[in-house]
Amino acid sequence: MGMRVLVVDDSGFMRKRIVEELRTQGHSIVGEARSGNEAVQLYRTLRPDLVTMDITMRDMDGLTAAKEILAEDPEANILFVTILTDERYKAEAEKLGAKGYVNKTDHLSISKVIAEIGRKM
Amino acid sequence: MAPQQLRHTLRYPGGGDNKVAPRSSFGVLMQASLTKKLAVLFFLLALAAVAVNFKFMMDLSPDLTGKTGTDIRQGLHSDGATVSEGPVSQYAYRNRMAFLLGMMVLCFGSIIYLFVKRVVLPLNSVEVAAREMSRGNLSVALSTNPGGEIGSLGKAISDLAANYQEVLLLTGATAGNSILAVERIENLLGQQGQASNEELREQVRVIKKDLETLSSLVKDFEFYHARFDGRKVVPQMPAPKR
Repeated sequence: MGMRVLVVDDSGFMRKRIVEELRTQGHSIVGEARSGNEAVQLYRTLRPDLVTMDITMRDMDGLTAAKEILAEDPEANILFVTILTDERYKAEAEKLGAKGYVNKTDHLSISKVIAEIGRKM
Repeated sequence: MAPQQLRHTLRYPGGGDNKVAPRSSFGVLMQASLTKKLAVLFFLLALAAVAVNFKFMMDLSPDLTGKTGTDIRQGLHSDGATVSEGPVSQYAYRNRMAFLLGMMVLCFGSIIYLFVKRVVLPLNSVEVAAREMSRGNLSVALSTNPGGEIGSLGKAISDLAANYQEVLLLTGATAGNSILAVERIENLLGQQGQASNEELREQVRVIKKDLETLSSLVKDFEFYHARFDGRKVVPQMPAPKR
């Protein structure tokens, strides 16, 4: 099932890669945000089915943005797509209630986790 | 990175950027570029100067009727009597000149102040940040407060730094994965006979996948005079001018 996805990453280059990957899987991209602040604002407007969230962003980091989004909508589906492999961040993401935590270099896992989230919806 | 990619805007249904639409004419002015703001300010001040000048000329005109310029300058009527009072005395004339001078000083002072505050200082900070980034320090933060062209330039440089950082980190992380896989292969080979072919094949698959990721990262960039086809650099020189 195709999902409406909001892609959050401060790198336009990485957003482009994620967008292309998601489109090939049949999902539609409803918005792109380059910071946590923009992500929170766009989430309120768009109410997407899924948010792919980067962590290292200057304006507001992904964990803080996810916390704000989940405080407003506890049913929000947030998937962290990050370069950080530190277990502490992974544990923090799980504690927040994220639907997954995958490494940006691992495209197979990204596709797999997104497909899994889609099936559960 | 191609400039077209740097101009990647954040869109959502309903069209337009993520910027909030201004609600009043004052809001429109505040959202306008710096050049437009300066132009509006200069226009208003110039309009005020013209209006004051016009009023001054209108006040002078009754004195000019039937009198020579010399009479006015000397403050005398044509019959030789001293002018004690009238529509425009020399005192009032001096005051108005001083007022006009003050307006001019205020006008140019405001423009210079705004120019330094909104153009020179932000451009200086952008230059310092760009210099730091060129030395490899991508952690330097660029203020995105100034709007208009300077703000856009700062955002474009920040986007460039973000992309640069992302690619470098992904490259490093992918290379790190490959190094780990190679080290495992070395260990397996060191344990001669204990390592199964399947384990070695799995590690080779990991290296191959990571190297393919590295290759695809480079392939996604747009270069001048060359392109990367996934395996090698292919020259792409512009056609010679005839």
